[in-house]
Amino acid sequence: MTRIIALFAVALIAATFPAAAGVTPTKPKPPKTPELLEKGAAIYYRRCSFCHGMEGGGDGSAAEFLNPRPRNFRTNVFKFRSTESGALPLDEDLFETISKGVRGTAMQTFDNEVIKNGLSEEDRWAVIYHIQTFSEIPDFSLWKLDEDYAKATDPADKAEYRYNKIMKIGDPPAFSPEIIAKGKEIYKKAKCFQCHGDNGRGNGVSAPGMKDDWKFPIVPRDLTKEWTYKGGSSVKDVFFRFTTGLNGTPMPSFAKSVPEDERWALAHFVNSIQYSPSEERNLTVRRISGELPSKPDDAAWENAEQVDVRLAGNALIKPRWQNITVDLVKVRALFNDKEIAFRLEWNDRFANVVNEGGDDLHQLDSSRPGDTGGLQTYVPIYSPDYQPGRYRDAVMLQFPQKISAGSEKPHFLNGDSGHAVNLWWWRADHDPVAAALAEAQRKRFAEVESRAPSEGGETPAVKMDIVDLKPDDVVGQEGRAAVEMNAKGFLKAFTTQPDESQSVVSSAVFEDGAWKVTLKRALTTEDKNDTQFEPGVFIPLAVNAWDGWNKDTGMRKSISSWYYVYLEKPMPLKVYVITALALFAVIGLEVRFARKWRRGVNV
Amino acid sequence: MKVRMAAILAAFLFAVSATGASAYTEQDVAGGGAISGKITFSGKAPDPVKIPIEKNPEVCGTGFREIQEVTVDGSGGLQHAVVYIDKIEAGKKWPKPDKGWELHQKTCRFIPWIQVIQDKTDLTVVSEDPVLHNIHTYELVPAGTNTVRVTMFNEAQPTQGYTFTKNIRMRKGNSVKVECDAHNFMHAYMMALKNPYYAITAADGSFTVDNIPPGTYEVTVWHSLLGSVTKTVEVKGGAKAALAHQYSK
Repeated sequence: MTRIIALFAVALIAATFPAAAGVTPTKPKPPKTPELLEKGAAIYYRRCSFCHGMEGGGDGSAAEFLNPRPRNFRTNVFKFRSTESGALPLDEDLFETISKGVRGTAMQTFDNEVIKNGLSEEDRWAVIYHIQTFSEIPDFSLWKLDEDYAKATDPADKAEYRYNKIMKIGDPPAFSPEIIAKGKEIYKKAKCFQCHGDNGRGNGVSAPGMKDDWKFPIVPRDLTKEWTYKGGSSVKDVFFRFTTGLNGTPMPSFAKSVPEDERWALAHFVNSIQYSPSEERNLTVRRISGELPSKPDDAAWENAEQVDVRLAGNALIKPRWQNITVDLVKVRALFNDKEIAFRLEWNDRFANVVNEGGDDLHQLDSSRPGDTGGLQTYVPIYSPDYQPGRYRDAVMLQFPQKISAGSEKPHFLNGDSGHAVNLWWWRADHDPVAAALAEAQRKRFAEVESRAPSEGGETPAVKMDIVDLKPDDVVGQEGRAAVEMNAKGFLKAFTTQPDESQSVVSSAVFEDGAWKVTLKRALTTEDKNDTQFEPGVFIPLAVNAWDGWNKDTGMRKSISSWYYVYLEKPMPLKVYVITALALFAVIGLEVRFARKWRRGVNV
Repeated sequence: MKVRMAAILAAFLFAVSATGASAYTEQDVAGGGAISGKITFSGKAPDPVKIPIEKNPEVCGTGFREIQEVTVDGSGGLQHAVVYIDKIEAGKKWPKPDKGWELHQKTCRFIPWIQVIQDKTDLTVVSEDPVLHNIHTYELVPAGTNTVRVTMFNEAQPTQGYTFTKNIRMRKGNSVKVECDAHNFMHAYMMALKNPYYAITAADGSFTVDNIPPGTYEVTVWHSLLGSVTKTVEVKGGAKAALAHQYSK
């Protein structure tokens, strides 16, 4: 069990390390000797078996906590290859994956030039040779190289070589506005949008309900999130992904259907829509005259500063949950003389507006009451305790209840016993947009629904993952979908403020795979439980988020550490006066000094 | 040392030629016999799987797609079972379609639902729909009492009329599940066999495999959901040997 913990530590480290630059071997591949195979087996046992299983079945003790699941080396279905769809990877492909690791997963970087606990090149080869001994279907021993093709004389052998054809590519064509424009056309022509969405957020019409080869749920990549491309995000990486397809997933190969020059253009275009979050942690809030924007898609937000809040899973307290989907919330804010408004924007493929998961924000894992730490507190990815279709999307802003003058802050995970936090919790099911989305969905699937009851089928209308509905008439209707709460750490129950203290006004819109939510409140209130917003002060801000599709609920959520909001302070007149006086004083002194100098006084 | 190398090489060559010898040879069959009979199902047939058509309703239609794997007529006859003889190395000609074996996608359905093709030959796949389809084939590999699905290939078909061919090469199994990931309600099956001694049961469960060289054979009955069973049948020249099997649930 300690090993599982260690593995999660490894996984966290892996997630923070960038992909290694050099991934091709520097030395020739060593021969497959019995000694090397034995060494590979020993390394595999120590470093790989806890995830990938003693017999290579992808069923190690950590497997049920990991998404994606560790690779099964017995069936040999590999995502990252330079070979055609369905074929085995080259040894060099495996070398690249092991060396780089797989971003956003528990598969760490094993290049010892990059990470201290990595493996030498020879050790990596030893492991690769050992991994290949597990194979049952198809068998690595049947693997024949493309370059041997010419030597084969038997037609049956020829066919075998053809089957294993290697995708050879040259260097990417240069970047140009024309190639991006062409790529954008190919994105439409090759119908990438059908799964990945019109703007690449992984929210196409075919996205809901997808399964991988092992019938585990899988979603199309959100192509706008640069950091989530498992096989790398460069033009060449992207080119390979849709050329070879990702074996084991719904992602097919486009090698036959889209010509190479078009695939290069597409790779450039996909590369161009990748967003890389800024590292800035301070949000300067501009003061505006007049009313604050009441709708989340108001043009006024274009002029507001933005901070990119990065989120990770709650791995601090049970139910520990590292398999999150909301990993970035873009926060903007504006204020006037009376109020402050925040606009939160995050990508979410599907709107989930039904809540059967209860309103207990502090909800811990009921199956193990009282146990807040320890080893049994991670949640398996497909735990029967969390059923799909029951949970709603939600987001929460967190501020310290009292702003301390120093650097002292509450614990970022909902405060601590000595430092309370003020929480603004927006829940999709309470927003006017929820009813509208559900109604639009009902209408759209009226046919499905009308046939469902007599056949005893489930009624998908409301629970279905909503991908492409735009109920314009209700977009941004103001409401009270946000509730104000206080908390003093994750060990105590959270308190909801009394009705008379509730004053946060919200509005929301869900469009094309993204939520936009505004939360507005008076700058200052009479309530001592409320955070007071004063210009010229750095006010800590953190964000929590829940994705209903991902079965996020209660403490099973995305969390951020502290960021800061700073409300612009108009420069007081005093500043200018003092500056002017100081300037005059300096000039005066200099003049006196210069005069003395000229008069020849000894200096 | 040299002798040993030569021995290894010889063994290797023998192995290669041995696998090569398993290829089927077409020749005239004199005085062949036949196997015919009826495959039946008793009990209540499993309900069809109903999948809501949420994707591209403009092309795929609305409502539910019902996947009825077990199709039984009034007399208990089971349709779409495959009866085949695994080990015949020489015999009658393959009744190949003129244009070769084809699989179509039309209004988000695979057509046909089931077909038998020759292993290691080309399959032509034609999308007749103006939406993106992909053809994701899984080899159904027997593993003890279970079957493991292993991806064979997964090709995109982004445009209407797009046609490609793929050499179908079975590795450990002989049956194939066909799916479209873009439309989770599209399903079909194929078998890729080594010889033409097979038949797909008709709507009433009946079948005939003819022109079989006389002899005793292991005959397999396969159904996509109900599994397979192998029976020994003796085929005499000019005669019809009977084979019946009843699945039940």
